[in-house]
Amino acid sequence: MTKEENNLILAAQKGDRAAFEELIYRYDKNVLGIAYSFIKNNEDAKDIYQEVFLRVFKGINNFEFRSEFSTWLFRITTNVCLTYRSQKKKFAYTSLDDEPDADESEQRSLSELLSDGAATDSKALNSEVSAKIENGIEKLSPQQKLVFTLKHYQGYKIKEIASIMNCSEGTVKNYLFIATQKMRDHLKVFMDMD
Amino acid sequence: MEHQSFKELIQLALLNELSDDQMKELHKHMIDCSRCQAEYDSLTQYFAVIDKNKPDSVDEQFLHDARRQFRTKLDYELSRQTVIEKIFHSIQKYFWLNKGAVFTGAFSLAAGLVIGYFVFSSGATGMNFFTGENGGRAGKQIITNVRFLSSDAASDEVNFVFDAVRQVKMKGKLSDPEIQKILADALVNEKNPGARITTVSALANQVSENKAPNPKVKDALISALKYDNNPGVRREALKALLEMPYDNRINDCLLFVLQHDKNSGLRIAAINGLTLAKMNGQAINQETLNVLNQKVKNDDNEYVRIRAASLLKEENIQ
Ligand SMILES: [Zn+2]
Repeated sequence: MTKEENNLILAAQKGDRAAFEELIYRYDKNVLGIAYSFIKNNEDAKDIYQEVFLRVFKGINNFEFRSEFSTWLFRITTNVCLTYRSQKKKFAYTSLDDEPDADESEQRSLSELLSDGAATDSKALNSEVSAKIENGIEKLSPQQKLVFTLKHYQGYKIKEIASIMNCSEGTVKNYLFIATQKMRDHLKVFMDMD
Repeated sequence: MEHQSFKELIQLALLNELSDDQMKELHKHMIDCSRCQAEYDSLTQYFAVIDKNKPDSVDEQFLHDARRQFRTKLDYELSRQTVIEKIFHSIQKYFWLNKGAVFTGAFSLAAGLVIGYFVFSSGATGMNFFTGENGGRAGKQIITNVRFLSSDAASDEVNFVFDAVRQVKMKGKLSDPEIQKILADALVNEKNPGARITTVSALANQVSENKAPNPKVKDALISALKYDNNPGVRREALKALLEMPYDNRINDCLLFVLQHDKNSGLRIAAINGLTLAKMNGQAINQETLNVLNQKVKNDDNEYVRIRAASLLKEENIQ
């Protein structure tokens, strides 16, 4: 933590709102990014954002400089994500899941998909893959889902994820391995079969 | 090393999570292991798919909207806190200036609209009344019955009164005289009629099982019967008193109700009480005869008049 950041935190703890805002605007894009990649819905992501920073605002006096401010902030973010219940979500994800997998003849191998950039229907195909991925992520447990998004979409190191989620690196790896296994199974129709 | 471990190392390698030594070890193994080579290729493909389908990153407009919404929310939160703090400080000042101030209403049966409870337990400000610390081991302090006398938006001044009640949680047996005493106090002091009814019923339940009632309970029931302005409370009190061994005090209460209670249902219950007592062998004294005579002539309620007349008639025959 830089000295400048320390000063902002101390000022925020004394009730300096400008300092508080300056402090959170250093990280709020990441918070919104985590929220969005976790929840995949703009309104819900903004809800999570509000809740996170309201908690930060109310709790800043309890911040004791025992960890990086960002770690503390992202820990709050992940907690809010894990406990967030969307109002709209139950409608957003219907059970696409339970649909039988695409017909054998329609299956495309992964290499086909990847080399398909020029094809006219590549966009449609990408959105099909995206939907399938999103659908697979929804089937993960909240913790697996969180580790998956933090790692693959937000690019955090396993070590960072462990401190954000307040657990061991081993636990994070486990979540990650299980998530990978489940996702590969889920996406196998798109993968090369050999 | 097990093959499974190498599978995990491959994954970590592709995620840039391996140390140089681990990387070397993995490469060494893969030269001879076709299964791991295949796994490496397959995982590479999988990660490429995941990477290609990453959700869009947050754009500036999205971030801008989220910030704007948050500022509005924070404004609201701060203004709410200011109001709570203002009330809190004036309450604190009040108690500072009136150090000996007694809490009005010693007990609350945790019923009714309790503004203070909402204000101070919302957790937003973490303020805790009197104790000045979080948690409040001694129980929650309740600010109740807040009445605004005046408020002046221009000068930012508010003027209000309230009752400060310390909420005490008690658990005990109704047959315990101490509990009965507290409930009896509550019956007298509680402002919420619903809570008073509950209290009386609780006492009444105890009374029916207890032949020698607690005098304090009896006093409380008598004053509830005579002076409570809620007819439901009076009715419950009367019911409870009639469960007690009949004596002159109870007789006087029934007469009091017959003469003064404006609620005809209660006067009917009172005259039924007198009838029952007589059937159980209680003598009717002169005072009672006087009241009955009076009732025959001028009670608004026909049933009361008829019952009074028949009681007098039976008395004259004997
Ligand atoms: Zn191998």
